[in-house]
Amino acid sequence: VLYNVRGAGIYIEDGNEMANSISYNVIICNFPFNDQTLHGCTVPGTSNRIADTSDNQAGIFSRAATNNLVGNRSANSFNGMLLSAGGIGRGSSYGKVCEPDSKMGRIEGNTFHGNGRFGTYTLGSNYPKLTDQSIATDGHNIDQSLCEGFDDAGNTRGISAAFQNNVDYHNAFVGHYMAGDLQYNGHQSHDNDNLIYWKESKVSEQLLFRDLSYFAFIACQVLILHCTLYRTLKMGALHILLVETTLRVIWRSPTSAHSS
Amino acid sequence: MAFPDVGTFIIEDTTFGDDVTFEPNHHCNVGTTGVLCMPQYVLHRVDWMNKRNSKWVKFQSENTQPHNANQNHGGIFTLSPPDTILVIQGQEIENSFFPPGYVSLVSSKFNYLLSAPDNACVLSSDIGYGAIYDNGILCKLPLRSLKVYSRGLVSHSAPQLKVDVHFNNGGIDASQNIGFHQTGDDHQSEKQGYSLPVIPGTEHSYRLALLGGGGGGNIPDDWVIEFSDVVIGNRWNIEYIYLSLQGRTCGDIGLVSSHHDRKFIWSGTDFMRGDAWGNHGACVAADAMPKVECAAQNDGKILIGASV
Repeated sequence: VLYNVRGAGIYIEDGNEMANSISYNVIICNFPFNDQTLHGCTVPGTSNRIADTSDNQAGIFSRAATNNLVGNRSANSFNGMLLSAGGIGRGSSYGKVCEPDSKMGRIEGNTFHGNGRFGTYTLGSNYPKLTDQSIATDGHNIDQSLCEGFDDAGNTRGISAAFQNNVDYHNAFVGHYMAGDLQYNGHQSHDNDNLIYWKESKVSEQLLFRDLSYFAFIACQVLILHCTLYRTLKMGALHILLVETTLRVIWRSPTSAHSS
Repeated sequence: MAFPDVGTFIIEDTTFGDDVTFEPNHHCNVGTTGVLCMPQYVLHRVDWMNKRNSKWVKFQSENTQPHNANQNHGGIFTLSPPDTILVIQGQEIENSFFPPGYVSLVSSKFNYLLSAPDNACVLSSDIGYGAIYDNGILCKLPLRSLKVYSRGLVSHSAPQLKVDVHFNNGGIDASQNIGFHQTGDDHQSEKQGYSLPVIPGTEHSYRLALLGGGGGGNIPDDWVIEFSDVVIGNRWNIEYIYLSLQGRTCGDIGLVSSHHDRKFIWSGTDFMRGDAWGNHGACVAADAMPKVECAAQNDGKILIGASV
């Protein structure tokens, strides 16, 4: 349980972090955002204004999307979970990571509630692609031409991903700025000011991973009958994955000190 | 619900509760976001449980641009092909988003649809649903998007697009002039052109021409045409329209498939890479997109965690 943390509760800093599992944590900001002294859980003067200040403080902040977030709960921050993807890496990874193109990890069973801005939130251009970013490359994109929107034949390079069985409530927004090849499956969004907020998108991926070739938006905005959620739970394999989830937080990338 | 602006969104097995409002094209043509503002929102086995008589849909009506070449009132709400068939066959879908007998909704600005045969499209306000559907047009027919990407035009001088529709079965032929759409200020973005909802099928044909702008009304050879989305054919069945472009050929007989080529058009970050103009989209020689059988591949549900 993370309580009264100043700045981001859980912070993934550089963009080259991959394949970490962040599971079953509870992040509680115990001050209202409009507190005239503490301003929620914001803190100025750190090395990351976006993650820590009233710009976009978040319970979970990640510059890379290729990590697993499972079963976490984030409440009363400015944002519940922010996957920020506008840059090219940070620190020793600066210029070595195509943040907007990182694959989505497993984001399942999380709950974001009571956050002043977004619950589920991706910022920047989140268009996951199949690149050469891997653990073997220290999470760096070696051939950055693979981050381009089209291959030489004109096919888009996207790789689809799903937000699975997450819950958002009592937030102002849920969603994205520029994002595509994403699916909401079994999502419960209720009593948010904007149940889904999404600025710009793309035609869904057609060639890579052909089984994922249509843009299904399988959201369950359940205000009345929770059985609607159960009607969408058709993938038994997901429950197996849930059982196998690790409970550790593993930082595979050395990161510079985060001063929050 | 503030929906985005490009592509097709299949909303499936989903329940919407009280006070939900659909807002198509939420951010289309704000700054330089958005493309041609004609997304398809396909409702498949959706339970609309909002029983209040508040506004269920809010089409865009505000212009944040320094010009009036802004057609951001687009966006198509339509039942999935299987649900559409049920309604057309006379069945009533319980808790449908649409009134009995209707399967599609677009803004009232696309008034050519009101001339479709057999009163297939009506103003929602004429049948007592205006407040709910933002006075939009309800249709008993499916609707899909048709987009024409232009280049080199600017807001103050771009011509309108003249759309003529000819019906086989005695319906009144219909016409409408579609305004030019330009994302951002002049020269700020390359995203520009025309878009409109069309009725898929081969019982009618569409003819497009320019009103002025030089060239005798011809649609330039390098402009890119896009009909609907391959997702429709992948998930269900490929659809067609007959399309005639003044000054251009569109295949041998003008039959355009929803599976036509779409390469180099829009990746989410890259728009119309040079190879696209005149070589890709519909009504060119490019090969059709490959057919994907969604039903054989997890029924379209995306597996998570496969990447890490």
